[in-house]
Amino acid sequence: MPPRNDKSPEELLQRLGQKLRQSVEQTRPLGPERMARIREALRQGVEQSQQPGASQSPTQKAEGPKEQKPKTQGPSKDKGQSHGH
Amino acid sequence: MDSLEQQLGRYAAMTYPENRVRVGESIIVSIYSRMEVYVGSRCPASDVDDVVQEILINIAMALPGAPMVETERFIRWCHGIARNTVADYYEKKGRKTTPLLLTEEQWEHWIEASGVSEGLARWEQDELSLAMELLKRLSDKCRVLLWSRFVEEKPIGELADSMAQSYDAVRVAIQRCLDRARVILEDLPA
Repeated sequence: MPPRNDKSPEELLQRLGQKLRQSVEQTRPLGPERMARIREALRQGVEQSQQPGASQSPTQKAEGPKEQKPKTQGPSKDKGQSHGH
Repeated sequence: MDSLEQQLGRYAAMTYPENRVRVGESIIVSIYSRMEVYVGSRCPASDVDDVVQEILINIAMALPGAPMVETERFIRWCHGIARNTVADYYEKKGRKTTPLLLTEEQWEHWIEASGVSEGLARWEQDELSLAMELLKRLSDKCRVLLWSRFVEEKPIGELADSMAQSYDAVRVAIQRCLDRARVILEDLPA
């Protein structure tokens, strides 16, 4: 058992992050309903990307600076609906 | 399960739509916990499920154009979408919030609600308590910086971009916060 204060702050916080991610994976996995909506979005994204002259989706600009925040036309609150692109 | 890097490589190499969707699903599952930590520590608990779902759907839709060459770039791209989705979510609600700021009530509540402390060995629980105490005692600025850098494992370059500061300025700021954190840790009772 390691003594209480022998960890660096970096190690402590990295381990906290690892534990939090593990905990999410174990206790709050994505359920079938949420996965079904995600699958639909994946399918839609693939279809759009294969259309001739497909342009960059608004969300793909997300790497840009914050000031260029895109107006995502992402899904409405009703996540069961298809996405209005 | 393949590593995220392998999944990205497979996705990039695939052309058949159904295969892409299948590998895309595993990519989303791989990044889900990161997005949950990102949102859970910033947004009110009642919004977390909705916001995370919007982020995952936006990522899924945009996946064909994502940078698949290296994991770090891909995660950075995901964080960009997460940041914008959170901002859009609150803009749409017309609510004036500071969803990108890590407030104590948000991160602390979320850690406690996350179930992270369940099933840990005694020394792991001590370690978790120590990390929580350290975060509480840090200034707001240092908490945000160290959380982003070490809990969320964001590279310095990504932080510099999102904060509109130079790489060196962020590196030095992190170093100073770490110095303060070491002093805090030394003062905490063993």
